[in-house]
Amino acid sequence: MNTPPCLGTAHLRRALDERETTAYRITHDCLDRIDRFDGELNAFLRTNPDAVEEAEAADRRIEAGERGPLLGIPVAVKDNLNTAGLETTCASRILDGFVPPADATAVERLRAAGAVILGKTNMDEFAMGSSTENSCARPTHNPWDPERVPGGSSGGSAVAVAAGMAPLALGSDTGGSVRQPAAFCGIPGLKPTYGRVSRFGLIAFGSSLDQIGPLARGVRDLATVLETIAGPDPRDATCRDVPVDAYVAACERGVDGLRVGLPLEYFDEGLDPQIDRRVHEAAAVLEGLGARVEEVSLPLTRYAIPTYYLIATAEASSNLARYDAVRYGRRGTSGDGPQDLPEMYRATRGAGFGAEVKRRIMLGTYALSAGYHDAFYGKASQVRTLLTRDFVRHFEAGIDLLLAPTTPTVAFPIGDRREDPLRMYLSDVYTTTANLAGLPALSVPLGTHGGGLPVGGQLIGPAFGEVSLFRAGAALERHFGVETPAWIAGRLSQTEEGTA
Amino acid sequence: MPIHRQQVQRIAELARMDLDSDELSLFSEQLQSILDYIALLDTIDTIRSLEGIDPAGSGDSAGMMGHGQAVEALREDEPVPCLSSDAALANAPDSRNGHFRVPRVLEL
Repeated sequence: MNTPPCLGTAHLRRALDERETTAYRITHDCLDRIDRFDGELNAFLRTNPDAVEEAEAADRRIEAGERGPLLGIPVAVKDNLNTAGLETTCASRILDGFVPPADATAVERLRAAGAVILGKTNMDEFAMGSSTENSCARPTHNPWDPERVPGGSSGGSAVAVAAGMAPLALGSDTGGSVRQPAAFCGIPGLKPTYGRVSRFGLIAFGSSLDQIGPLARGVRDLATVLETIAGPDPRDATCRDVPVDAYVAACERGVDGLRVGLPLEYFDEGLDPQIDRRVHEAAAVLEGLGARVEEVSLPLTRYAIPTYYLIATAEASSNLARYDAVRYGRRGTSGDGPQDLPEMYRATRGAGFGAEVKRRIMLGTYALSAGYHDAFYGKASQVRTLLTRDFVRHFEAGIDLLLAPTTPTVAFPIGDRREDPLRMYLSDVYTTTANLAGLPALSVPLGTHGGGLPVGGQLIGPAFGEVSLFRAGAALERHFGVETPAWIAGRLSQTEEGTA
Repeated sequence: MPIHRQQVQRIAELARMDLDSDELSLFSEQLQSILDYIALLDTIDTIRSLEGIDPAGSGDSAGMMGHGQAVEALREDEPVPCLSSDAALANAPDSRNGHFRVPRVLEL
């Protein structure tokens, strides 16, 4: 049986457990698709040379009678997640050739469950960006329109899934980097609660903001991955000891009785009217299914972007100080003749970092520097607390989740915002708040807009309230579905083996 | 708050990064417009008071809603297996005799 394109893991699981196919076959077919499509899309930085071997090991486990939701399922992994023995670069020159000695905890847990690591996906350098154009490699292309960006920074992971090259992917989300590319590529993507998933082995950008999150072809698959990777880890002190809920089961529970808030500040004049209408349509769908929808206010929303860009850059300037080419990293040289150590640092970092990374390091350094610390970083931290309290107040008053757009626009053309960093930052306007407040947020595809490009809606829940997100997200998916881009369907039908 | 080219140079020095002349010009301009936008934060006092809010806070909604503890980060002071010397040196740009090697630190 040829692996049907773009299927969720439930179909693959059934086929594997009933021995209609093998993990070897599925992995082989994914690698074959990567061969055929990825020259044009550039979602992957490298494939895993051991993928076939890992698939064969999974087949042996299945043959021995073992059953598990991810056993034999291929996963694409963003290149800021450590994979033991497999090059990990964060799409930066400075980490060219870096091979981690150990897996990130999330990767380790996937491997233990029998998932197959397919390869490492393209991203904005050090996760700094909203388009995957800041990669030191070529940009990734959106399979819905290859002249457009897939979003970022987890653009490669989003395209791997959207284009049927992998059924599942891991990304990371610091200011929207899982949700925004998921929305631009027409698939669901989740940012878990801060502290839900261990950050050990996630190469740090903003340590109080970063979370690892799955992207997949269905909401239920996100729940499956979350059940596998969530939970405390002694190697991450910010990972909380909160029980892992029955997220997969939550997908079937429906939304009867849920109170859904629409934050009016997220429906401002910057929002594409078609996206506005589509999100309100989603609200009506939930209401029809028994939810109660009401308008709420989050009056500090307009302060989220400046707050985020001070805190994230300050934390980044600290986290990226380690790239000094002493213990790892590509060493820079300057002029001729021997350097001293400070010269080596400056040359290494000058040559190794791209423009956006440098910009953010400098902004962060400035925000933390003597004389400016209180006015910038201190103030931003205070505003962050107020922003968070506003969310908490609504949840404590009985709101179960919020429904909002994920992005103000659909995917924009490649090159459109590269010269204007501020305009690029403003595309994060609806996503940074969940990171600042540590809340879980799920982007669900809500069909396509007039121009044929995907529209995403966002569900934001209380801390550790992912169950509500899955209840509502799965309900919306039953109505709106998850589509395959025409580009992919067209290419698959060109092959001898045809399509399913 | 205008940001001058020399300030940008100074920040780059603090961040231990070489910038060429084109980068210095470009970044001065771009950082300026980003900082102008960030100045929006100065208006927050008109709609909300920051009095009594800890400037070392971190938007901890989980803590505010009483969710669980962060996992105890301390353990017994007993040796456990850790990264081997070989593994630690495996990605070194330059190493010798089990050490990382770097250009001279001090003028002797």
